[in-house]
Amino acid sequence: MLPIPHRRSPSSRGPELDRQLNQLIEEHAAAVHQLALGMLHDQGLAEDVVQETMIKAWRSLDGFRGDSSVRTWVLRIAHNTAIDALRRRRDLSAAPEDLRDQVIESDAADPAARAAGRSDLAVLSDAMARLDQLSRSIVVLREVEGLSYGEIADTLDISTAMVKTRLLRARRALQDAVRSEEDP
Amino acid sequence: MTRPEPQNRPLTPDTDPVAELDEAELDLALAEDDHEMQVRLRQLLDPGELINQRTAQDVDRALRGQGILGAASDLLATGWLAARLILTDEAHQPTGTTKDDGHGTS
Repeated sequence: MLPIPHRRSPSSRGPELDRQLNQLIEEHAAAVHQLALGMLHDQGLAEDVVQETMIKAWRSLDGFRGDSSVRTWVLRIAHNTAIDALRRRRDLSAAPEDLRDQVIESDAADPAARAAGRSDLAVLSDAMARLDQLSRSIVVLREVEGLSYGEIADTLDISTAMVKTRLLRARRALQDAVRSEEDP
Repeated sequence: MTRPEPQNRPLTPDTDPVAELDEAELDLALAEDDHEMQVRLRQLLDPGELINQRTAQDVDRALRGQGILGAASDLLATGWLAARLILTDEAHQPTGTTKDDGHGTS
């Protein structure tokens, strides 16, 4: 008899698997997108990461041992997937200007923002882009997703001391960037 | 009017005051959340209302594509194994013999 590879595929998707997949998407797609966008600064790549993460998580659900929360586990998959995407982009030498361009485009449609020159969001986007990749992840996981220091350490596989140090440094860098724009 | 240059230089432990802090001081410094910053970051990274719908469509499309590829590759593997079985079987047949057991009527 021929070996049949064990994989979850459309042909093997029943109502239960569809339900699991939809639940993963409903509960975690937005958070994964925010993390990926914060890390990559590219909408298209971020959406690719969301898609890839959801499929990886869905396929690995049987192997999830429950050592951490599902949220932390999915975000860890997302973080690793985004790092792979960053590596691929570096290989292609593409510039991560997408998020900034998008902010500037939305400013252009807003007369007040146009009058003010660059909006706070554009400044913040630039400041985020200047952070190292790990600090960007920490900032998103803490300030946007509201994870505890322990959960961030678990997600990124680093110590809580490193989480705190990087977070404080990143916060100060972002605050300085915004302040210097407000009070030139 | 000149604007200050953005600080592109990475901080090093020598120039970084955060590196000097112990854990208790770090906790104290981090205790006050910057809510304004959090709101701005959430605006910046807002995935939009349709993110779940878009993701569901993308995932479905990707899985269908992978399913078709998987089925094609399974079919190819089956064909290859079948061909190998037939060829191996024929190669092991002694010369001049057939699968007929010789008890036929003709």
